[in-house]
Amino acid sequence: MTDNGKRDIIICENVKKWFGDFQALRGISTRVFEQEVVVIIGPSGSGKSTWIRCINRLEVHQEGRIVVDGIELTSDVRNIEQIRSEVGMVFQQFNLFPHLTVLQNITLAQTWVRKRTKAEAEEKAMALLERVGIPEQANKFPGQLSGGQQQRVAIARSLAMDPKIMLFDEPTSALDPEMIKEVLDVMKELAQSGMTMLVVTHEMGFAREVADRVIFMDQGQIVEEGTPEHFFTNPQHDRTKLFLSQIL
Amino acid sequence: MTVYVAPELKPPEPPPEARQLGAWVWLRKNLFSTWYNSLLTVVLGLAIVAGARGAFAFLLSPDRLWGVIPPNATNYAVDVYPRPELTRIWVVLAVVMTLVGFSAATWRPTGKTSWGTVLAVIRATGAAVFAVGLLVPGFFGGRVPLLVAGAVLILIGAVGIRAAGERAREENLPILGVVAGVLVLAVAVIWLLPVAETTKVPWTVEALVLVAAYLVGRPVVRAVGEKVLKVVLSFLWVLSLPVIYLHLERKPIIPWETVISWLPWVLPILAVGYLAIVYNSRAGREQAAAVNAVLVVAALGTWTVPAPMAARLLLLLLVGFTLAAPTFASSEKGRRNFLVGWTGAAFFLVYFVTLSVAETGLETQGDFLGGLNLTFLLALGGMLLSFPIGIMMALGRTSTMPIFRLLSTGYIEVVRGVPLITVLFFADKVVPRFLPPGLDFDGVVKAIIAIALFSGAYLAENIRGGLQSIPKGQYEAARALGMTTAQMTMLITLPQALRAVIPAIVGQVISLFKDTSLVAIIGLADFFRMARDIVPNQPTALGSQIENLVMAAVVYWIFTFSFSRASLRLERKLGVGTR
Repeated sequence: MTDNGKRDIIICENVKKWFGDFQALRGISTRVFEQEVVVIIGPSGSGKSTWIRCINRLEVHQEGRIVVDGIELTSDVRNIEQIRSEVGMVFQQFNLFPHLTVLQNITLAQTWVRKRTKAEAEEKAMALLERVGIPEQANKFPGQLSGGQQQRVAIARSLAMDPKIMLFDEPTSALDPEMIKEVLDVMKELAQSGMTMLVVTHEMGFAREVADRVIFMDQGQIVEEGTPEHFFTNPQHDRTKLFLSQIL
Repeated sequence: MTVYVAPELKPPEPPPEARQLGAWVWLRKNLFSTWYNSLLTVVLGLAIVAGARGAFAFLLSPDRLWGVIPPNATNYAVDVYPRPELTRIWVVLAVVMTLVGFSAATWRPTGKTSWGTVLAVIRATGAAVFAVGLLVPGFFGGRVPLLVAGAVLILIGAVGIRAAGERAREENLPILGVVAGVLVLAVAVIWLLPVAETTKVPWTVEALVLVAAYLVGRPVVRAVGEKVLKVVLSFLWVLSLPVIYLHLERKPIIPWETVISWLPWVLPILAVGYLAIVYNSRAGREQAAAVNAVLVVAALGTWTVPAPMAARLLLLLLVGFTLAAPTFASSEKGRRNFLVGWTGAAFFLVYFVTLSVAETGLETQGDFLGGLNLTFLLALGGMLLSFPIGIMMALGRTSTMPIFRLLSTGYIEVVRGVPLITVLFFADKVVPRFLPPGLDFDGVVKAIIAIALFSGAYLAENIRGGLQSIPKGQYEAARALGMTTAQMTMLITLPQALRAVIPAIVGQVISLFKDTSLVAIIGLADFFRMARDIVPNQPTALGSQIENLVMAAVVYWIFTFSFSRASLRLERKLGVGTR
């Protein structure tokens, strides 16, 4: 339990990770409570992406503990698949399945992993496409969509699994400036609906407006964390001040 | 600095008209642009004319014995297949035609072409015929009809294009219509030429069966739905191969005594199969693995004791089903499909094995499948079987499990390291020594298996290339959605990989088709061997080997060229929507 009475849904304790000799994570410890929106910022190579990819075990941490919704991440296959179906992930490069239509992209995992019938899955998919604002694109292929539309489909695809947590790995970095807003709007709506979200992004406007908490990382560690207000008006650490002065 | 503000945004304009180049301008531009290019054009042109004249002089010389080929048409098609039983071949062909018709109705090629293209092809054909007429040496009678025919075709094409004008370029002619037109033309030609009644009538009937199947297929597709029919037809195509083979080779079609003697084995295994599949689809990983382990031991155990071949193979088949059950049969619907699939596969396996070891009542000497018939059977069988082998080996080689990787890599490298002839010899002479007594396939089956194993290794490397071209993000997205490795492979990576390597796969299929000619080495009389040895050695055809080989080359070319054209269409069709 945290001070505001909400349950911890992600617990990271001293998480470390190496790529060969290079240490990408140098001991990350933090907790995320239910319905919290955490924005992670930092320079490239600071370990932001590596960390959130550890949370659904696309990367394997070597030391420390990660507990997601009461299940500790170990190499046990069943744990991993269970966690992955409850943690949605949105990628920088969308990673839609190019050989399937938009609708099939969203129904595939529902029928195979969640074991829903085709009719249920399609109903859910159409409702989600409605929610992200592109129901008319259902029968097109991803290649025929703009980047912003593709990213919104990717969000709908993750939401279709009814995840408890959503991870966003630089969701707007590959988009034209004009398309960033349409994706951010969907994410804002999602945050307001009470989804637990971890967002790696360079969109400071989004962090200021939506985040409950901002985490600044550098060199594989958490340098400073606090409310957006604290961050953008009164940063403490020199490294944070330097970073913010260069991007704002 | 000056400020510019656009008054209003411009609407799009049509592209500028492409200027039609006259023939003279085209020649100037492409063949005679400079004095040394002109020189090159003249010299090469003379060389081509000289070469063509030489070739035609050879091919059309009065010494050539082209006359021996038409009377041997039946031999080329079926070799020594007993003539009173030829109706079996026509029946088989009718079955294939029915499948083709239904498939055409289901996969309905929606491609369109234009009258302009068709007329241009006619014009080009006319030009080619006319050129042949010009190049034919000497002044014998052959020249005039060629020149006249060529001129007529050119005229039809040119006048047609002129008359159609702008409309010639509209793509409004369905490909299926063109194919139907060619079919009608082919049937008409058979009836106009002096062809024996015994050839004319059956081929006309086969063409009618094809058209009828298409026409019946349309309403069936509407009633049953495209998706269901696609699955059913795919199964029927795979099943057609052994059914065709057995129908051609066995008489009676089903030996009931053998079937009944096997039932005490087959029925219990069938029942065990139901239980194991249902159990595995619900049980956890460990329990399912235990069931699989017991079944593997039981399956291998039956090979050490006297048991019917059907029982041994049935148990191996069951292992495949139970292994896949936890992944694909965990939903109510998946389980039902799995049980139906198991029943079907089991019955089919028993049918096939029963017939392969049954005596045949057909009156003949030795292997009696031959000619084009055999070439097709080898190519079709090799192709169908090499796909599962190739896919499994490709997945094995990219697997993270060292044992699978080692076995697949070893298999691929060994098979690719030896010539096909070696593999054929090995299958024919060595493998039978290791098989348990009572199981000796005949030469055709051994050849099919050898070709499939050989081609499978090459296919595996092609598919591996495709798998490596899939971006890492696709794997991550599939994993992030909670898919298991099996689901990821079957639903995400493999379909994309296969699509990416269609050109390489078609190349492999073409070389497989041509490689079937090597079965002559193990004594089978395929189309090529008919042309090289059997037909030219008849007393009435002595000294005609070259003519027969040229004809064989043309036939092989027609088929391989059609393959590569068809694959181009397939590529374009599957390319829709990919990035």
